[in-house]
Amino acid sequence: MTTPTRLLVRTAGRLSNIWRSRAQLVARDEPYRLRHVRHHGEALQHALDRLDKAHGLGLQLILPELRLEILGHLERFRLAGAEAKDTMVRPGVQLPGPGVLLQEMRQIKDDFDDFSIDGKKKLVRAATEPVTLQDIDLGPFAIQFHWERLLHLPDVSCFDIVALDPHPAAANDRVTHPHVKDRSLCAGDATVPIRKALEQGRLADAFCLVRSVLEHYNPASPHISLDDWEGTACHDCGRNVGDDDRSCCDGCGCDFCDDCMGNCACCDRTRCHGCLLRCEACNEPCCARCLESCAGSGQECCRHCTTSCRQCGVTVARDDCNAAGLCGSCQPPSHPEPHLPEKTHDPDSEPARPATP
Amino acid sequence: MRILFINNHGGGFADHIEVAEATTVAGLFEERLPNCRAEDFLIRVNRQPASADQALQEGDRVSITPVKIEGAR
Repeated sequence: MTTPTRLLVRTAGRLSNIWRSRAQLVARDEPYRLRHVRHHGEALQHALDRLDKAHGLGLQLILPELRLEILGHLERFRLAGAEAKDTMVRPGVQLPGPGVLLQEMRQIKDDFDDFSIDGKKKLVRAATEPVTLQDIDLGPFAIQFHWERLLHLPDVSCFDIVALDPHPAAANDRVTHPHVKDRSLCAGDATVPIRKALEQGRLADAFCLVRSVLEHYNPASPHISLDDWEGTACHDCGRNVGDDDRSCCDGCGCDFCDDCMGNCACCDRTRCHGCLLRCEACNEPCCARCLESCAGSGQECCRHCTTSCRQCGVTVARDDCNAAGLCGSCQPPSHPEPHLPEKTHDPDSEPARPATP
Repeated sequence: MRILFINNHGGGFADHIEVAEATTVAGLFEERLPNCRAEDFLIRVNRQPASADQALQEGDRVSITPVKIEGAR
């Protein structure tokens, strides 16, 4: 793709303005950062005075608390100092003018076959060749430099990495490269060099550094390892598993790793833990098809724990049937011996039985 | 003589340095990155690819960029 010289020149001017605006923002920040250092310095001094006083008066009990307070002030003073130093050092960097930035863009154009500028979206874009890592084809990537982001932070976050022919990880389609997720590059060892390059207006170096990360694989720290790239995430635990180690649940149709699957105690069908219920009588895992609702008790029981009433035929829990196989409704009413109180003879209530001869 | 040396390896600094007259690209690389292999780097002089035996000139811009960098997550 050819980029007209006029567009290159105009973009170089816009980029130069961005770098200048960034420098102004940083310069404006300097007095604030220095006041911050002074403030934390005074707070530290005050805490040190209190420590001296406590020592002088022999106030031993307060010492641990004062030491903790001083440690906190020291840390805040150190951080404020580091920030101020960073702010003061940066303006020393020579700002890239339009001429330099034009050279930078021409170099990117030479380094990458596919180069373009989108003035409306405020980005400079270059595409890599198709990337293949460990025999896995990830396709080409567009490296998009969004120049307005430079105002906020001159680092790798100025870039979007867009997969042009995406072959994302099977487990997560937001991961298009072991080091790219949601279009963001995790630059690892290139983080500092990219920041330095952007701070100094070395745009072509920043593009090359991004490409160097994309064309290399760090197995120690990927979003998703290339070994698991083609696998499928277990629907339950999320672990990425290959085809040999996963099964499809007949109940819900999702893929699960072997650890997240079980078998129905009745029919032996494979189900995920979410699709396996428990028999309320024996507590064994069962699929919904093998559980029946028992008349009377309303329990959900497996077929090993149920039977049919010999008289009415309803399904009941075995424990609810008597020895004759009858459910509670069909069993004859029992007539327990009434418990009669021991009677004393009352001559008024009942005539006395005649004595046997 | 004085050249601009841009090292995108590690800290990624750019600075003017003094080098001896007739220093070659390979010589500078060995001096500055003694434990590295040149084939793992993109070495340019004045934005152009450079050969190992190219002699450096006063005011040259030399950039060294690794072609393999470990990303993270």
